Amino acid sequence: MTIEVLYVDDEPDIREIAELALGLDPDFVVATASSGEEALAYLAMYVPDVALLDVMMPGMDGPTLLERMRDDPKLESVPVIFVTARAQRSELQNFSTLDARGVIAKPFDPMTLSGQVRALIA
Amino acid sequence: MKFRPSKVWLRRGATIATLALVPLILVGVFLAMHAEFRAVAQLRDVSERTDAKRDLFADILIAHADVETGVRGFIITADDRYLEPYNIALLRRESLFSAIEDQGEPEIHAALARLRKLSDAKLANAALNVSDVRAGRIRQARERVATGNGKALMDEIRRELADLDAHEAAKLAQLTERSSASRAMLERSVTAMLIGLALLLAMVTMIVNRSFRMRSEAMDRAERLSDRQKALFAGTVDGVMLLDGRGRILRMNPSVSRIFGYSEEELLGQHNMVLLETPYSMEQSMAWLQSVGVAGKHGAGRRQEFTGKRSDGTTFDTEVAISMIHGETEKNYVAAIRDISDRKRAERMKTEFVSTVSHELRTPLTSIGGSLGLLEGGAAGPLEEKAKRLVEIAKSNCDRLIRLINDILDIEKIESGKMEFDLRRMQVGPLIGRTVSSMNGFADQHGVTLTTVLPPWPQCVVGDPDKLEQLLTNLVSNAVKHTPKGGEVEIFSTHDGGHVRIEVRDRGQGIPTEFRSRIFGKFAMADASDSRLKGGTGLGLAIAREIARRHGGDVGFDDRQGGGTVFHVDIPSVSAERTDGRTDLDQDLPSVLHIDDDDDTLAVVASAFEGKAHVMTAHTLAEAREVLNKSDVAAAILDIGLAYENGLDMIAELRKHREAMPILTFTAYDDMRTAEGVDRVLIKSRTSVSDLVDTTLLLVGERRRAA
Repeated sequence: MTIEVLYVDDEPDIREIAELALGLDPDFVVATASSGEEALAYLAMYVPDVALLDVMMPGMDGPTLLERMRDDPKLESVPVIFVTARAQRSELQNFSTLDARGVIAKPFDPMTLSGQVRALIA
Repeated sequence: MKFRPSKVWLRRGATIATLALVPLILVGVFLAMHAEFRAVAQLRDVSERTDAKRDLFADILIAHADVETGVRGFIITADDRYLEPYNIALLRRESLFSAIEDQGEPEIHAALARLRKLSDAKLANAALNVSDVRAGRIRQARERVATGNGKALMDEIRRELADLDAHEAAKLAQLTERSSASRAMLERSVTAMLIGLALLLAMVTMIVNRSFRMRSEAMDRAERLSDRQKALFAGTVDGVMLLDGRGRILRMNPSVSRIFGYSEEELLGQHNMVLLETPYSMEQSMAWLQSVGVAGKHGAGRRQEFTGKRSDGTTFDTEVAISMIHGETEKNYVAAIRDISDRKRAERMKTEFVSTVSHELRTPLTSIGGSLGLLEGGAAGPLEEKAKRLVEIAKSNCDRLIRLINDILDIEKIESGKMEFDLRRMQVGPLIGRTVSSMNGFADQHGVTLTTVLPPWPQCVVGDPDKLEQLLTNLVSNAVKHTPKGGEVEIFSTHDGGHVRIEVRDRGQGIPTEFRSRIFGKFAMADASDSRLKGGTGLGLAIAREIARRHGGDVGFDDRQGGGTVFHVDIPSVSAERTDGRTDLDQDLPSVLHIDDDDDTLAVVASAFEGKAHVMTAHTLAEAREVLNKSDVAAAILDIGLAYENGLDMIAELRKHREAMPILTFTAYDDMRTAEGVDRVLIKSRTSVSDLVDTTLLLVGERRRAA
């Protein structure tokens, strides 16, 4: 079963690696966006099965993007996973209260990334 | 406490004793003089009486001589005129004898009786002669005179009178001699007393002089001290204010003006609240001041962080150390105010820096590590053997760099108290199982086998599973790295007193003696090549020990019999589950007293502690006292701004209940940073309830371990 993933990160290298890593799983179809605004433009047209959001991005950050998604009835049930280089527990708790499905810490292991995503949305 | 009289008291005592002797001596002199005056008066009296008696003796002799002379003349001339002295003597004789006898001196009664008898005989003899002459018997009278009887009587009378006179003279001489001796004694005594008095007065003068000199010196010293204090007061960089009992500013040093931008005239008489950006009411401020102790007494006084407000309305971080002093008529307070903006800025910069490091270093490492991982995993197609080896080296070092960054961040978080612990009841067996499972791959790479030896019964602790796994992973990783290929690392769990002890036993080279004292230090490695060979960061043991200590435990090591090292972790244990499915944990849970006047807050906090502690709630200090009377409370959480009360007022009673009790404040006062007698100040707006729970349980664990 195909799993459509939207990966949002302002770092092009990480976007590319994540796309490659997730692409190792034949069921994953990966789209990327370089900012919150670009992601919203994509989401206006497509509804993915899961969205992976970088937390710290210039302009609209990950938590804001999540809020905007939850405001949209079409997107309110899309599972969201944060990917962050800041893995403080209090931040993780905040992400949970923001209705995120989970958090993946950077640096992530590219070979197991798709497995982590599958586990979080299962 | 042993009483040691001070020099001042000794001096005072000596002066008083000396001054008390002066009147005693004067009284002594007066009594002696008085006695002497009486003795002299008595002597004079006796002397006068003796003289009078001796005069009487002389008069008696004269009277008898007159009788003798008169009668003889009358015998020769028969002229009555010659009898005139005789007649007078006859008249006086009785009065003279009566005068002597009236003085009633027994010792001369016998002599007087003899004298009277002789006198009677003499007068009888004279009377016969007078009678014969008058009768014309002149020849018979002359013959009677010629017998010499009259002369013999006269001689006898003269002798008796001479003896009496001599007796009186001797008596007077004896009395005079005694008086002289007494006077000499008196002179010596009075002289001695006067010399003593002079010495005492000299001593008193000396003591008084010395006292005056010392007083003068003390006043000089006090003046110098006062000058120094004034200089300190005026010159200290911190703002220093003297407050009255209501918190109004009585005095201030120039730094207060410099810090807050107000002139002295503007601030004197104002309440200190004008300098604070604070939600406190005047009553709360008063209550707060009332709870401040005397400086330096059992560490009393209070230190707290506030947000200060300058005259232009800008705010800044400030730390206030305040102590109560006893003023002339009421309590006063000395408040030292320090502008800690720079310190706070540095702390924020450090936090920001750490955050930046965390993000900015991890971001490129994500790319590097991700790329290498993909290459290594064959995502870009199969690699040649040499290329594969190079990618492995690059990946391994990238991982090491990530570990180093993580360890540095962990150390920073631990040292700044920002490492968060999710404490919960957990079993040790599964913790060891997870650690071994995750470390098996690493051990395989080193050709080392991991084995576990666990007791058949469950062992439970209150801990953060992730942090304890991190701790164990560090120890197991070290053990694996230091165990020769083909060797074995044992993870052994046992019970030691009130602790669960986990041992990690290796067969390495052991720990060099010179390295033992610094093995838990940061970047500690036995030799410089160690990190390169073993891929460690030198922070693992420092982190492990901190994690253990934050759980109320500790990490240590011993030499292993037969070679190698045993690292052991001790964590306070809690009882395991019972066979009936219920847990003993409920009984082992610490009791936490939470004082807050808001029902919602009490409910939320109680809910967060569920399964971790018994929470006993109180809306007022009176309710809190009831709880303390009925229950054994292990920790207390206080709200400060209770309705009409200050939660901090409970601190003394709480300490009395249990001296080492962790006391936390959970308050809405954003300004509060620290409070005297309080272990942690948590601000409601900045602290999650789970953090409150974690912090409380952590402190309880620490105190239990200390106990």
